[in-house]
Amino acid sequence: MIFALTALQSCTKEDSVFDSDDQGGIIELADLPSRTTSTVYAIVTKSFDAVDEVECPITINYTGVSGAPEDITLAVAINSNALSAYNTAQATTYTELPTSLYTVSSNTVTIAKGAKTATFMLKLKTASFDFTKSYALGVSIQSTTAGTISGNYGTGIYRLVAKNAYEASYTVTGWFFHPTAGRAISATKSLATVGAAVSQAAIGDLGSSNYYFNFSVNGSNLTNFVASGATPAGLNSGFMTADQRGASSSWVNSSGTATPGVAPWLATTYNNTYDIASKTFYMHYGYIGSGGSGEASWTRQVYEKWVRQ
Amino acid sequence: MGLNLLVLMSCLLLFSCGSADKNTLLTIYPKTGIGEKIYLYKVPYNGSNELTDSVTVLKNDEPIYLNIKGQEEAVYLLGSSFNLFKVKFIRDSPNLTIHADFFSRTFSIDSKATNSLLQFRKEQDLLAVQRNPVFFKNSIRYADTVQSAAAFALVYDDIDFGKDYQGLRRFIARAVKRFPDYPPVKEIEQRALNFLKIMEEEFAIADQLPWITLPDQNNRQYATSKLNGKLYFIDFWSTLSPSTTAYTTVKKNIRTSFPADQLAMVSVALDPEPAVWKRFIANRHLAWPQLIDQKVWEGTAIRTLKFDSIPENFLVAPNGKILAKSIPPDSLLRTIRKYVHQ
Repeated sequence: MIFALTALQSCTKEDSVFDSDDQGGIIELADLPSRTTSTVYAIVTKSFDAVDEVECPITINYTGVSGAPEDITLAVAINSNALSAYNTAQATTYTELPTSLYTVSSNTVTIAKGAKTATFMLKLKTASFDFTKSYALGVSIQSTTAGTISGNYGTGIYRLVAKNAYEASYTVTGWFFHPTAGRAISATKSLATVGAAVSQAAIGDLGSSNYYFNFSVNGSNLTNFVASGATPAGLNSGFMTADQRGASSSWVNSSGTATPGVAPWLATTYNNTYDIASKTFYMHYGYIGSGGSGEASWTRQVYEKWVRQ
Repeated sequence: MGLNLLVLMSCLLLFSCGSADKNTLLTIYPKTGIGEKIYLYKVPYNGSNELTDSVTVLKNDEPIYLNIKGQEEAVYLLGSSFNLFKVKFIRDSPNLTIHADFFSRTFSIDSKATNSLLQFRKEQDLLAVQRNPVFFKNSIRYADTVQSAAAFALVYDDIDFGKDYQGLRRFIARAVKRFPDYPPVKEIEQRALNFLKIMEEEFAIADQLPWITLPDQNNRQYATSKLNGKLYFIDFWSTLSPSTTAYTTVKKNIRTSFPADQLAMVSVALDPEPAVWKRFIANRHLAWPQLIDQKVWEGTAIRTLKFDSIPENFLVAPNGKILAKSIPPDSLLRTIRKYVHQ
C-alpha cells in the first residue's frame, strides 16, 4: 500500500501539462489535457476545416520560468505504437491517419535559448479524409539534447477531425407535406460532413428512420441531391424547382393551413440556396416511395429553413 | 475505488427505483472517445426531441446504467458528443441493453420491436433501390402485422393508399383495434378520418347543399343561407391556382348575362393572403359577393361542402338542391342558361 501511494505520488509530482513552475527542464507536449494514472496517454481532439492542406501545429513546452538555458534540439516523431497501445488500453478503435493524408515538416524541433515553446508542424490534407473514420496520430518526443522528456506528456494522442464549413447543428423549421400525415417541422438537425463541400442531411423528421440525402453547396446554390439510406434513388427524390400541389389529390395536415404553393410554402422562398451571411439554408425537396417520374409525382414534399445555431 | 463504489451505489439505487416506479433500466455498453458524453433523447411522435439524460464515458465496453421513467412504448435516441452517429430505438421492455459503437457507427440492441423495424427497413431499402412496386404493399403488410405500436407509428409515414379510401379506412380501423391506447395511433386515426371525410364524401346532384358563412372583402360575415329561395351559382377558386382563375372571364360574362334577381352569384377564394385576394378582385372588377376562406384545405368550405380540389362549383336551385356541379368553363354559360330560362 505504501509502495502504491509512493508510486502514485511520484507519478503525479511532475504536475499538469499547463504548469510553469520553478522546476525547469521538463519537455512536454503542451496541448494535452490532464491524464490520470488509469489512462495510458493523454488524448486531445483537434478540428480543422476540410481543405486541401491545413497546418496542425503541435506545441512543445519547456517548463520553468526562465526558458531554455541553451538551444535544445528535439527529435519528435509519429508514434504508431502509442496509438495502438491507447486503442488497446481504452478499447477504442481510432484509425491511424494514413501517411498519404499528412506531411511532417521536420522531425527535428529546436527550442531556442530563452524560449519556452517550439512547434512540431504537421500538414493535413483534410479535404481528402474519409469522413466516416475517426482518425488519430500518436506523437512522441523521442530525444532531447538537454532537459528531461516528460513521463506523462512526452507522448500524446491527437484525434484529427475534419469538418466542412457547413457541419453544425441547425434550428430547422418548415413543413412536411404528406398525403395523410402532413405536419410542421420544428427541430434541431445536424449537417454531417461527407466531403469538402458535400453534406448529409436528414429528410424532414425522418432522419432516425434512415432517410438521408447528400448535397453540395455550389456558391449560394444547393446541388447534386443524392439519396442516401432509405431515401429512394434516381428520379424518385431530389431538390424541387416548383411547387407541386398536384402530386397528391390532398394534403392532410396535423394542424393549421398548409398546401404546397400556398404561402409561406413557396418554391420561390424555399429555393435550395445558402445565405452565407446568415448561415441559413432554404431547402425544398421531395420523394416518393416507389415508382414516380420526377418531382410532379412526389407525394412527400419538404419545405425547410435551416438556421445555424 | 471511489468510482466503483459510486457506480455500485448508483446501480442499487436504479434497481430499487426501477422496481418501485416501473421504470426502464437501460444498460449501455459504449465504444466512443474517453471523456465524451452520451446523450439520451425521447423522440415524441410530433415535435422536437427531449433530452432526458446524459453521462460521461470514462471507460469503454463497461456498462452505463440509465433509468428511463415509465415503461410504455416510446421512441428514444442515443447520441454522443463524439460524432453525429445516433441510435434510434423503441423502448418495449423494462430492461434494454445497447452496444453502441460510435467508431464503426454500428449498434446492437435486445429490443424486439427495434430489431423488427431494422429488418423491415433493410428489406424496404432494397425494394426502393429496385423501384419495386411491392414497396408500398410491403409497408402496409408490415404495419398490419407488427406487434409494436411505436413501430407502427414510425412506419406509417411510408403508408400510401392513393385513391383507395376504403382500404385506408379499413387499415386505420385495424390499427386502432390493435393499439387502442397508444396516443400516436389516435393522432394518426384523427388525421386519416379528416382526410377520408374530405375525400370520400361529396355532394351529388339533387343533394341539399349546406350553407356556409365566411368573411367578405369588408371582413363582414356572409352567410349563403341568405340565398335561400334563389337560383344561385357558387364557385371555389384561389389566386394561387391558374386553373381556377381561368374561370374569371366566363364568370364576369355570366354576371353581365343574367340579372341578379334571376341568378345570384358567390365566389369563395381559398387563399391565405387577404391582401393578394383583394387586389385580384379589384383589378378584375369582380362585382358580385366575394368571400375568402383563409384556412384553405382545413377551412369551412372544404369541410362543409366536401370537395377535394379546386376549381369547383355548384349551381343550386331555389329549394337548395344541387342542379349541376363541377361545370367546366366552356359549358358554364350554356348550363346556367338552361336553368335560368325554366
